[in-house]
Amino acid sequence: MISQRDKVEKLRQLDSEVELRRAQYQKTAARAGDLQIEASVAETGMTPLGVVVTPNTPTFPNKPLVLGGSLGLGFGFGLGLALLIELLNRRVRGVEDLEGSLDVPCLAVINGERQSIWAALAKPFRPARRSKVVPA
Amino acid sequence: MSPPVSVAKRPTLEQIAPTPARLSESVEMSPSLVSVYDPLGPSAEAIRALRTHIQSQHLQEGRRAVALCGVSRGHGCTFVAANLAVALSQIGVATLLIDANLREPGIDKILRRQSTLGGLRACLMNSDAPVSDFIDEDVLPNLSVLYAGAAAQNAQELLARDRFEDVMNTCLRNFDATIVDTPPANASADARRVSNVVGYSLVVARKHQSLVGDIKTLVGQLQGDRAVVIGTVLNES
Repeated sequence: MISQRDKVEKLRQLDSEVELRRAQYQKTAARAGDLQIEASVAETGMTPLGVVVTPNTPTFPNKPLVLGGSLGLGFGFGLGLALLIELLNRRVRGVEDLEGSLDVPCLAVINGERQSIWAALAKPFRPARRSKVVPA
Repeated sequence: MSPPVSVAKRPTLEQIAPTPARLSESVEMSPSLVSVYDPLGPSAEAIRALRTHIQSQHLQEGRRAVALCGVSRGHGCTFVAANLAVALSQIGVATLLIDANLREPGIDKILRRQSTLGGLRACLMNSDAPVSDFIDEDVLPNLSVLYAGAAAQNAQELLARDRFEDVMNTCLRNFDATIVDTPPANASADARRVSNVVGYSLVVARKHQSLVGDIKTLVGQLQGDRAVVIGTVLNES
């Protein structure tokens, strides 16, 4: 036993070193486990604002929206204005307007020319017929 | 499908509306005188329908005159008056067409004959001269015309004289039918005065232009002046 005292002493040293290494390992493993847990947490309280890449088209003004909206609003406004003017200043559009509002009959309707509906629609865009005195 | 109408079977212009006036070189007519220039057209047909109504409901009842009134300038009052007078003359009715528009005479722009007669203006200013001296007789067969003459600044005063009533009475005695064209009612009260003297009125409205309110106002004014509004004419041309 005495002769192996050196060996025993060395064994004790080795055991203590093993204990020390084990303690260090466990401590390191615990620390690594804590860091791994922290690293795996995604909720950091931050929200992604968008794609990092800048878009090529401008976000304002929205030309289709502006053009479409303008046309729609203009059409609606014009239609309403036309209806308002027609209601305030009602013009004679047919025999019904004359006979409906007056107590006298409409004796004749003079229509200048027999024409198709397309010709009638295009009439306002044609120049007025000239009235010219010609020899008999 | 209906068979095509043969053009040869359609009535000729001379059959519908003989126009011996075309033989007269001194008469000038506007193409708007559709009763002569386009007797087969829809406008002439409408004028003939109006003539039929006037003849049956008006002349045969002893009413021998009618004043044509329009609200605004360009509504076709002169056009209807001239064509109605020509249409009446074409069926043998001794017709007199009077241009009582002393503001802006228009009959002479539609139907004109070179003459030195003074017209209605001179007739009203010369109380002693006989009315027949100012009437251009037989401009067309059965159609005489009393032109307005030159425009008068005092048209309302001229028409308000008793002389105008004498002139109208003379015309009513001498002619079977007297058609009177009047100035637009929104520019002066001449139309009301003429309608009051003539006694019967026909209101001309133009499609898409005449206001319903204006027509109602005019009819109310004419009826208030004791003129009988026999009807309206809608001018779509």
